Amino acid sequence: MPGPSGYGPPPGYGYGYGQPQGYGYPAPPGYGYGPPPGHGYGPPPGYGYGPPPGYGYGYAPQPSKADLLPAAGLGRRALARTIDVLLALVLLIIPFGMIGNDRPFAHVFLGILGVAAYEALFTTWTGATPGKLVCNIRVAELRLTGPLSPAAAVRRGLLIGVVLPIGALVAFSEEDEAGVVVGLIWFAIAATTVGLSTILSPLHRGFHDRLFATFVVQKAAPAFIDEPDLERWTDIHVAPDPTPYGPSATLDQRRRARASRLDDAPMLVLVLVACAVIGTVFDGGGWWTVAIMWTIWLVAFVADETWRVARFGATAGHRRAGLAVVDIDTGEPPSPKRSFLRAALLGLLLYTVVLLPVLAFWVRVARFNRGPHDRIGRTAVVAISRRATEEATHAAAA
Amino acid sequence: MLPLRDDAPTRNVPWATYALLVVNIVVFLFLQPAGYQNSDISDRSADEVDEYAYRWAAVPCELAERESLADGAECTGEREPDAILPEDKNVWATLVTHMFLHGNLLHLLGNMLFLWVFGNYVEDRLGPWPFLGLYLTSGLVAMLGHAAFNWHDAIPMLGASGAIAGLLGAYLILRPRGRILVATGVGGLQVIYVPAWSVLGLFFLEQFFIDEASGVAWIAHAAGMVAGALLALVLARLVADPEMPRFDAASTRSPNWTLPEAPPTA
Repeated sequence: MPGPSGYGPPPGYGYGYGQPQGYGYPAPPGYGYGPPPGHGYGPPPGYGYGPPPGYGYGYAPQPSKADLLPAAGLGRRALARTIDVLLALVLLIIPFGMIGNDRPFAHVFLGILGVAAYEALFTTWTGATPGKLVCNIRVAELRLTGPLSPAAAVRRGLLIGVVLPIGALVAFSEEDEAGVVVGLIWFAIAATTVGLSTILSPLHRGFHDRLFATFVVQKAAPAFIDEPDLERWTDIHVAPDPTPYGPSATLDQRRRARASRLDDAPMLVLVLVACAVIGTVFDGGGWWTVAIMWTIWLVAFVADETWRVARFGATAGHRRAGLAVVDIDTGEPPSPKRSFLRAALLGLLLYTVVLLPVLAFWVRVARFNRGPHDRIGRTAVVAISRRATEEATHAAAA
Repeated sequence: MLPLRDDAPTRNVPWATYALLVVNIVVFLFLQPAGYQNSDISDRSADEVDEYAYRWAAVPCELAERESLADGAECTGEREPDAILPEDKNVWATLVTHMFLHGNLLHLLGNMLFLWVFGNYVEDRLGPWPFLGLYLTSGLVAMLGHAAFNWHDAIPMLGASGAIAGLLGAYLILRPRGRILVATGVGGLQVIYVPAWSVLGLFFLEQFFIDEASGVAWIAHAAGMVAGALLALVLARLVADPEMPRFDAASTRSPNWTLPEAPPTA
């Protein structure tokens, strides 16, 4: 049954998915969802953190795995942060005094760099900032909890240096009131976000920790935590489910596909450039120009996406990443109607900047990583090429 | 279209790019007079700013006359009437020094963004020393190009734009189909990957529509970009690049995969 594009499936195709059980996973009865026995979740008897054998369920509420990992307590972390802030302020007063009062941007720059260097250098050399050392806690990478690699320490330090003090620095250096207010609001938002994410996340890993796969542990934590459940409490892996037609594409594969989306569509690029130029040149037209240019771009994108997906089951981006867009009911490229529905919603979400986070979040959390556009078009993005399939299955198994 | 990043993986630490970033930022923040980073300029710091510009920035007619204004170079173009002219100015040094100065924070940030996005790959491809050579030569050619069309002008020119335009030209030659993440103004703000040729080609064409009154040295941008492109054509042949996989246009046209089989219905 050749598809509309003319390539039908060769005999004997398939990577072990799509077995005769229809939608379910080929699994022996009673198997469930986990990895094969002997390879997985829950420590083997006599291992480390789990409850000892014979602990039983009847006696007391079982402590959650997260509580058993050697994460640092919130009280200590708050105390450590307070000490660090005070110490950094003292260290920064000297260069600030040397610069003088008439260089506002030099203050901001030095402040960011100073805080970043304070965090990064101390963390690289001693495994923790002075405040943390006093409180007997340190920063560790998720699996190998030795000292942080310099690269991770620098990235983490820069993030803390840019996000946290910049608002305060702007408020401190600005002379007009509006600047002070903006600075203070920025600082309040940044501090609340970091604080709340630290308090609410499992293992108290704030955004700065989650981005760079680190966490703050007690000083006495073992050098190597091989806790199999660690991954459940962290987000190093987003394991996609396999669809009946192949493993669903990982987030990284989809990001790569987006990057090369316009590779074989120069006309679409020219439309975008023309829209941008006209939008800039006629900026006197105000919102009307913006709205018209946006509509033109959206129509062009939706038409192109509809045609490519319905005709080939992929855009250049999907092809380069080894992916295909398939109809969830048939495994073929979606019909023009479904393809259009998908493309229209995708264009709306991708190119209306306020809606972009909705799309990103939805794709991240949905089963098979199917965003709203895949729902409405009844499609899924699956890994097709051998390399992409291996990547995706590896990610799912890891 | 504002570039945010490109999709080229960085194989080596781009030390030369880092160094240029640091030098430009440090010079602007700590060495240039404080008047450059204050919005409300008092009379005293305005004088400082003018004097600094006339000492370190390049003035076309000084180059034409081969002597400084204080030494009696005759310029027909307009200039700041009360500016204090530095006595012992070395006119030729300004050909290099003007590249490391910036007029205000936006000027600096814009230039550093382009340097970061595009310099990174050009250095990775050519190596740090050819990269630095390309950067400085482009800046020089850009300045001379600007001077050639404004022979009697007495307005000092400063900024790394010419040199950085050279990097854009080099990028256009070395990696025209590279993907650049840009923020565009179509319908507010969107973020999308586009091929390098569209961003850089547009940048080049834009230069010819810049308003003369805006004070932007558009000839310097265009000349720098052409110089960078020509240098890259030569350097790319001298510096081998065995590791970089070549763009394979055929692979986007003839897929080496087929659609999977539909599952049998239960």
